[in-house]
Amino acid sequence: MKKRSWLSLLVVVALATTLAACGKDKTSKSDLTITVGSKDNTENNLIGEMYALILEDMGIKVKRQLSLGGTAPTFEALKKGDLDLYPEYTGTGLGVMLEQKEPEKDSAKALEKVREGFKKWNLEWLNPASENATYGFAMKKETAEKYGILTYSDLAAHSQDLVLSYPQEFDVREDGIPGLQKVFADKGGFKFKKQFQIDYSLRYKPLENNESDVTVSVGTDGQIAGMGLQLLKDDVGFFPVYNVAPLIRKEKLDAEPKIKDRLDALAPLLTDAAVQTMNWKVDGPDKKEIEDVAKQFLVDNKLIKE
Amino acid sequence: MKVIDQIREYFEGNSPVFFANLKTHVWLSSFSMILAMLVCIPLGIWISRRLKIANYIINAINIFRVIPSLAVLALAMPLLGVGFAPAAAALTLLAGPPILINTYIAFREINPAVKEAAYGMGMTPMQTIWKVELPLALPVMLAGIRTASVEIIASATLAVLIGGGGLGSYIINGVSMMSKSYLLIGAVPVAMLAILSEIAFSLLQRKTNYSH
Amino acid sequence: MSYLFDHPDKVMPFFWEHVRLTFTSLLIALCIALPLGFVIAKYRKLQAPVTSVLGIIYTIPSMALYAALIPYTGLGKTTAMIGLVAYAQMILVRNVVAAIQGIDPMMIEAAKGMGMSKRQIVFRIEVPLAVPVVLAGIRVATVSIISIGTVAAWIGAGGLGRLIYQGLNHDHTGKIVAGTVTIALLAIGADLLFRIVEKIFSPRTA
Repeated sequence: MKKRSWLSLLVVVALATTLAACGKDKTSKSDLTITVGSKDNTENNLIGEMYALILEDMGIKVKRQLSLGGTAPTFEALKKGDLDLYPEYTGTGLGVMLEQKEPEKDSAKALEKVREGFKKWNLEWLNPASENATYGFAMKKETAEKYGILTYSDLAAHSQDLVLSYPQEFDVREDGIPGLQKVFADKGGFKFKKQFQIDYSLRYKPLENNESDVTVSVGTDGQIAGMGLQLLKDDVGFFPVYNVAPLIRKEKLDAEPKIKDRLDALAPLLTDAAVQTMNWKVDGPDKKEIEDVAKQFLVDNKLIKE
Repeated sequence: MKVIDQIREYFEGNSPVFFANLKTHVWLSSFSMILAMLVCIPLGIWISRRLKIANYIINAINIFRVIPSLAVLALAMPLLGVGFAPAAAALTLLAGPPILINTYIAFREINPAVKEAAYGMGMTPMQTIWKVELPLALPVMLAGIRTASVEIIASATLAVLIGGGGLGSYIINGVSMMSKSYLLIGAVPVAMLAILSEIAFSLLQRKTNYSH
Repeated sequence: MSYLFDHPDKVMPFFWEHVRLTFTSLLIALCIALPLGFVIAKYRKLQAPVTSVLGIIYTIPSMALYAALIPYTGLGKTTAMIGLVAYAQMILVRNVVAAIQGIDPMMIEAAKGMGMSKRQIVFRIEVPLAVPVVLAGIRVATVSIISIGTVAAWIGAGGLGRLIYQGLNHDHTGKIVAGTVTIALLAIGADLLFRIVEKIFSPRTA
């Protein structure tokens, strides 16, 4: 008897959870709803939240799917229509989605190419921000001083004495180690004493714990200023541009063309310095929530009503 | 077709890199597997005789396993650093529970009459374990070890997130660059390693089952 | 720790999402694994191919699997559950097979000798003897599901992964700790549940 009641209880609980899980995903489609997505790195998440806040300020119903696991799920979901809008980088669009091998160093050209190339998916790129979230190299100031390293050429000259840590992709991309080794083939070779890959979210940890001397950074990382790191100068003009821009499904933009004006107004305000500061408010010791930082920035710049 | 060309192109220039990654993967997996067996089999036998504490120990090991490895490793980074050591530690923890739980269940389920009979014949507890209990427990134990080995080979792809290298590098790169060719360069050898260990263990298992 | 105590309102929704995801997936996984395991335990020729296929599925990196599923099933819980159910099969099926084949043939012979029908042997002998080992498999599988379930956050299916990956991405130790402690508590809770189930099913060891 007792066994029976336990079992039936279990079954009921399990069924109830199944039903509860299934019943929730229905949404009404009476008026325009826009699903805003973002990848899970701090900057992309922040900017995605800003897009969402601006659309809400316009009176559009917004569904958030922020902080997805990287380019693959985010872009696939956009193509499928599970997302309508998310912040993407022109350099990523060109290198990853359009599979162009040669990195593009000119912002305007990169934009032109992705705008043309993404037509086949009915996706539109709005105006890109001025920030450039491209790769770079960062070192602790004392290490940089010890070896007298200020530029990529200096780094190449001392590479055999140093340990490099880098996030995913950097060891196989043309705008990563392979490309740099070609540039510096006769000038130090860009071959390190040791190099190892680490997850993107942990990219400053080896440097912090003195397990590496040089780390690959992203131009808009808050850690560079926040941790007082030396960002090396790209004296060979190596890295391509990665400007962030709203990537949106065409039918949604056509349904409400004013979206373009409102998001275009945000673009010029997202400078390297502004994004670095915001990133550090989240990643640094302040530990602010993304939503609060994004909202504060938009209110301060009068892009949304408080 | 295009994907195959990309893969061929990669191997033309980088096969030493590939084999270094493969070697790291195999070495990391086997090291962690052996370590997990050395710890968890004796522990499983021991707790099968102390039912009261068994569940606490299993729980304690399960707890570590359930936490995403990356989180554990991030928290433990000041202590373990990056590279082989933290990766091996994480994999050993992942492989522990299936080995421990199956060893424990296998030994616990042995008919007490069998043990009594062995003692009655004058066997020592150690002899009983080796000569009587182990053969009886082996099929279920091996099922656990087999599960653990597939799990380790699959999970060793995470080592790269903590500087441990291995085939995971291709998989992580492939996913983040949406490149099928990189994904396959990593995932196919991982699947093949898993099949190899499957075959090896299923042969072993076949020899130990009753029904033959 | 303080994040957990200061913001239970933020942690708890993730926790319940994770609970729902885990147990729904487990239930579906069992509906597939129990019959499948039973069939291949009986038809030994199928055993090697089926377990190998399940093993290969297990080696597919979760992120790659999910990225491949999104064009068909989109973001969210359904996709997350498909992955979790698929991964759980390896552990569950294997234990079902080991459980059934680990039964002493003498027992079955004895039952036959007592004049039991085939049906009676399955339900009175094989099932009760197999239950402890199957339950062991369920315990391992549950932990796996809870653990892999954190990846659901990557495809917008929520759960404690949200908190943990937020913590990792924003170098927020408080969130990582809150997420890992909560997920550990979930694992303990689930295990407690199965211990109760185990006691109900195997009175002879109690």
